[in-house]
Amino acid sequence: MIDELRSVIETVDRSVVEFVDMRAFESTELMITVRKGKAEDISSDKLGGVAIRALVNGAWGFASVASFEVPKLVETLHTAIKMARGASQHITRKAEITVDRAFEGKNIFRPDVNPKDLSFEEKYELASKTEKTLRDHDHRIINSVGRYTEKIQRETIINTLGTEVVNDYGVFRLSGMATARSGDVIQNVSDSVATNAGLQRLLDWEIEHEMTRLGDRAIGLLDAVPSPSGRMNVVLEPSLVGVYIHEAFGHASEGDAILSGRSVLRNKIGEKMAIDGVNVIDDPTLPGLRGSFKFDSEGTPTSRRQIIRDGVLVGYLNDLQSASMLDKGNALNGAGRATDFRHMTMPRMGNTYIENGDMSFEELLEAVGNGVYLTHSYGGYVNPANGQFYFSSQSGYLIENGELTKPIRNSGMSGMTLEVLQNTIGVGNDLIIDAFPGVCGKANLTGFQPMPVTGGGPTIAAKDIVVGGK
Amino acid sequence: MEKLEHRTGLVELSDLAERALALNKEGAQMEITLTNGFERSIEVKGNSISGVQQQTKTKVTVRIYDGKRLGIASATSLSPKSIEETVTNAMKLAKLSPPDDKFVSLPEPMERQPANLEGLYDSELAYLDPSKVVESIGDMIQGAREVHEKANVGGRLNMNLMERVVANSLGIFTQTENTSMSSFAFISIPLSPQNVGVGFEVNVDRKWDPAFSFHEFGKIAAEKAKQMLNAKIGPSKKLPALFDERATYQSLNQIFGFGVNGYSVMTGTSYFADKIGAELASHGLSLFDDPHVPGGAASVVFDREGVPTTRVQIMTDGVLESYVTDSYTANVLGLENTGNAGTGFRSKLPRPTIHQLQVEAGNDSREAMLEDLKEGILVESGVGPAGGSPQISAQINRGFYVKDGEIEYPLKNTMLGSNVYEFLGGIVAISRELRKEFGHQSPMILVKEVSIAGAGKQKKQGANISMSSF
Repeated sequence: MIDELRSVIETVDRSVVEFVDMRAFESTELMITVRKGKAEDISSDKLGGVAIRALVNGAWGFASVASFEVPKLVETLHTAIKMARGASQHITRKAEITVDRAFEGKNIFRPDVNPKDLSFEEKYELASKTEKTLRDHDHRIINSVGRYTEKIQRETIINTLGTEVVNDYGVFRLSGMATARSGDVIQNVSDSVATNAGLQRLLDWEIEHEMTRLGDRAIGLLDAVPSPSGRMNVVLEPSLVGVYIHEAFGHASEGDAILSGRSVLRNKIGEKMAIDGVNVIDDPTLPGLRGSFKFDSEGTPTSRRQIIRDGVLVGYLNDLQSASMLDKGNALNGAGRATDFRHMTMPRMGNTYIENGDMSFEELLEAVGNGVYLTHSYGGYVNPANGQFYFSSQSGYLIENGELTKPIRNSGMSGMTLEVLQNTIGVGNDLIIDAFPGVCGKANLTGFQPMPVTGGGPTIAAKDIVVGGK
Repeated sequence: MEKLEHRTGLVELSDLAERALALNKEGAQMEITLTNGFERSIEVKGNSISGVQQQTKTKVTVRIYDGKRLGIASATSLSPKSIEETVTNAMKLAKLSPPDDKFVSLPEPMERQPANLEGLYDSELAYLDPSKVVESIGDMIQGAREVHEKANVGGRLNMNLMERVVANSLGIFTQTENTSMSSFAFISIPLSPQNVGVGFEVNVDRKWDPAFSFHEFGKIAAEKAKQMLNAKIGPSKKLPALFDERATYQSLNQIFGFGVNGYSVMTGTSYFADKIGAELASHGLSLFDDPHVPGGAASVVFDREGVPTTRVQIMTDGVLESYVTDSYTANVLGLENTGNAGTGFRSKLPRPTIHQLQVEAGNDSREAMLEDLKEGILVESGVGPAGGSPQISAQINRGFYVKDGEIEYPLKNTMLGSNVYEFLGGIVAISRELRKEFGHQSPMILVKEVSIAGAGKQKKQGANISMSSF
């Protein structure tokens, strides 16, 4: 594939075109969904094509094609250049790629357990057992779902700087979802195991134990009370910490938001953002995690990036463009990701987490005194331009006089990026880096792109979080 | 206007579909969906055009029921070889899958005639070269900057051309050709990191309208951003909430989109399961699904299974009348297939969806509804239930605190709590004025009481916490 791509990129007139990259993409995906004892969705998907991006006189042009044939790639390259040229006549701020580094490498997927070595029946059994354990748990579980997904992809990336990279990537997940119902009280819960390393972690997952716990949680929520409402002290379990830090700081530290002036963290490098001792990391190099990868979709080797060190903002997540154009926090750190060949790259997170502190769970409850302990994330969103973010929990407990009391139902929370880490009361010592294996969604020129990520941290306590209850 | 190259063409898609159906020699039920098209976009970032793109949208999806055994396969390449492989892969998966006892049949041609619907395809928009309209989009920046010199303008113009053929082995064979154009403006006005006004505006059309003013469009979004400057956290108390027309549409679309969806009804997870005939909403709320609005953003003649679409009365005078179904859920629930099959979420299977919600007008005056609000919240963004439960615990992304009929201040970091039963049952006024846009219509509604969570001391533990009455 490299040779075909090279033959096309060599036709680029460098006196007119500042930069071109080409990314051939191939993926296969299998999904097995079992619901209430029956095979609901058994599907495979095969994607293949090439993304071509051109920078002409400071403007980007992008085109994609579902083909690997050289004449079609040449035609697509011309379309991308034409698009860029059309845009370039009207831009007032030119994009630049001044990074002058080329990368070479080949990252071949070597799974711990290769999905090819498991039969369809064995994969079906994983989803089926997950679902059946939930279904058999209690008659009040009125809907139960087990889902197995595997996706393996290869990106072949070359650019006019000389980069030539082949990068394999896998995503594997086994998840269970349950709906418990009693009259008009309906509560949904879910849990999953996810990895990029192969199927070993899925096979090691103690399905009966995990789904029994999930079933208990679903049933327990039927007798839970709605969360209290207002600004209050909260203790967040690691999966919520993961979403919280992903939304509150991760997105606001992405280089494209900084560059376009749509982040409250713009021009804040070196400023105190959190209490002493708080460290925020995004690390796609950690082995086996869902948000890990070797090279980004621009061919840059990825790296561990520190966003906050001891409470101070120290860096951003950059792709080639933001690394070229930002004055500070501009380390090229391999954050340029794209979902597939139909999309253009942009800075994205991998595995984002808060580092361990030194407080025990009991100490955190005591520090809070009265408030709510919130567990098991549903996800969240943020507007980096004003820093207002939202995240939600599946379940939790009231905290009364430093102790957990009544269970509470699902609820949402709201906060402001520039306030939340300043309002941290304490950081626990029970770090789970990938406590929330999720899908991050973000849009650019080529539209919305879902991306596998994780978020995590230790349990933390914070004050003045707005909780929306009854 | 310069035209881009032609695409595959409906005739060729039809040939491909016929050839694929001929591969099904074992008597299985088979459906093939072929799509071909482009999305062309222009992006504005940080007050400048940043790029132009053309994204391929090719896809083949094959669904096979071998008896009651399901297999689905899809691919992005429309080459004859790829289509043949996709049919083979779907058949292989079907042979491996356990049977689904609830499956009855794929849809057959029905007596209901397809609507003679105009305004869904515009040849000028279909062939429009985006690089030729870049300058118009640039007017959006100027319009916004005229409102406020610190306006940071972002946005996107998407132009879509989509050809689709849906055919099955039972005689369904439909061909459609659609165009659409959507414009987005995201404006932020950063006066300080703590005081950033953000505003958003959208426009959707099915044709290229040379008279559309991007300059005015930018101004509207910037005015909205300006209104959000000096936002404050709201109070923590129970208050009436007045929803403007867009917020009404978005909120009811979320509530009913899940609640009357045949899939959630079939799985028992819907809060409206077993509620047909029940009075769920007060003050004569009536709404229906109308996919036949000329030029409507979501207007469609056939659903995703090739079934003719139709108007569905969902609620009349507060009484729930109907669910929306696709072939599978209609068969399982013993209901008529309403032709509402849409794109599945995390599934290759079609799922029932409301095409285009229409909320009927009431008798109240829009002006009086605001003027009579002694203390309350004006909500201009949608809120909805979280995670499939009836609980509403949502951030107010755009809202205002109102006192004595006057807007006092814009809100930030403020949440709204309720549940779908209390929300619908609490509607005490519906405006006689309707906002009709993008194919849907909606009035303003007033909900007599919701929980607003914002500033204020944490409630004493136990206060206002009780078992839910629903």
